[in-house]
Amino acid sequence: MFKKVILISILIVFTNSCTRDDICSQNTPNTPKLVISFRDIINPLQTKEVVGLEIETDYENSIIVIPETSSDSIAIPLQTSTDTTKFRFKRRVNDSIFNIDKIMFVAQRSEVYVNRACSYKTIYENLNATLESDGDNWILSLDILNNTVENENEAHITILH
Amino acid sequence: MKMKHILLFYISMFIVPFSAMAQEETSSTNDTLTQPERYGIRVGADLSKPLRTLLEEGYSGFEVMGDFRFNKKFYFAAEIGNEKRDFNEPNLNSTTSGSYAKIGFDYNAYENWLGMENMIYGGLRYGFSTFKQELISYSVYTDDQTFPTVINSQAQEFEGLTAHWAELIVGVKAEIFNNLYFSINLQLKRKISDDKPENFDNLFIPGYNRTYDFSKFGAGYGYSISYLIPIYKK
Repeated sequence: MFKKVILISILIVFTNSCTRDDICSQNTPNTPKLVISFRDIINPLQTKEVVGLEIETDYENSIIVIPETSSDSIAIPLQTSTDTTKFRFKRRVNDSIFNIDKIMFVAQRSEVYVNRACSYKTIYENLNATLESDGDNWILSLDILNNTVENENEAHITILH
Repeated sequence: MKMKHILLFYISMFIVPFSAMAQEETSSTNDTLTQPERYGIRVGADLSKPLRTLLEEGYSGFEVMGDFRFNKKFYFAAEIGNEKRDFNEPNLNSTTSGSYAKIGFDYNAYENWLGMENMIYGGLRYGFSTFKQELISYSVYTDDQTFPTVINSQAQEFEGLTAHWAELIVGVKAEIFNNLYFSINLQLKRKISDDKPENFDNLFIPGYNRTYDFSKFGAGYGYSISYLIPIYKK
């Protein structure tokens, strides 16, 4: 009986460990995204949805990160190869016009080992965000709540509008 | 292939204890016909490791072994070897190399016919390895495709790493020619401790075989040829 128990427990531990290693599981935390929440400028405790929000990278050949949506909280990726990441935050004014605000994020990156399937992830420290002033910003204020981006559990930045 | 090894291992694990019990009961003492058995040192080399060196990309290794019979059933046993193994995945590339030693004993559970000296054995080993890990290149994993991933190929070397483990070994040894033995064994290992390189992990440990991220257990196998140098008869 005793022998059987030992053997079965060995079997469970042993067979379990064979499969989980070789693919990077979706549940394994990898490089975190930057979480932004949108709040009301009049009452900063109140979340406020941005209607017609679209976000794209602010580079040549820009890529749309968040297609047009209405949301009060979003998550966007930061670059893993350089410290700065630039985005265009676009809010629809009418059928043909967007109000475009540019934000540049700067952070110190460090690469942390995860496991053999996922290899490494990047975490960001000393996060800083700069809003480019264009005289007609729809973003009125930008607050950094947490300047270390190592998980996606809560918002790192609040944008007031 | 791997499943087959694991299966074989479990089968052997089950059979060895039972055959050990069964054999002990039937041994009779008042046998008039006795032939002295040979005691001595057996030395040999593992065949699987040189073969893998030839056939398997990114692997090289060898192992030599010896055992000494110190009573009817028990043998002192030791193995020393050297292994090098590459880990080549698109987002992670590393090499481990180093030497190891294993010492312990084997228990022969097989009651031989007169004049034969074969073994079905189980044994325990303490394993020790010193090795180095080289992280050649890696890329940061992200589940978002917006920005291109870049490969970081700044090689890092982690030297002077050590690992300790305990090992359960089961196998058979058969005398194929006079004094020449062929043996097959399976090994179940449990890691006791290992030095983890900073911000990296031991993906392979010489002598221990590959490691698993979520388990302290490992497995290995070997087949070897060895030669008995008889010293005395008893």
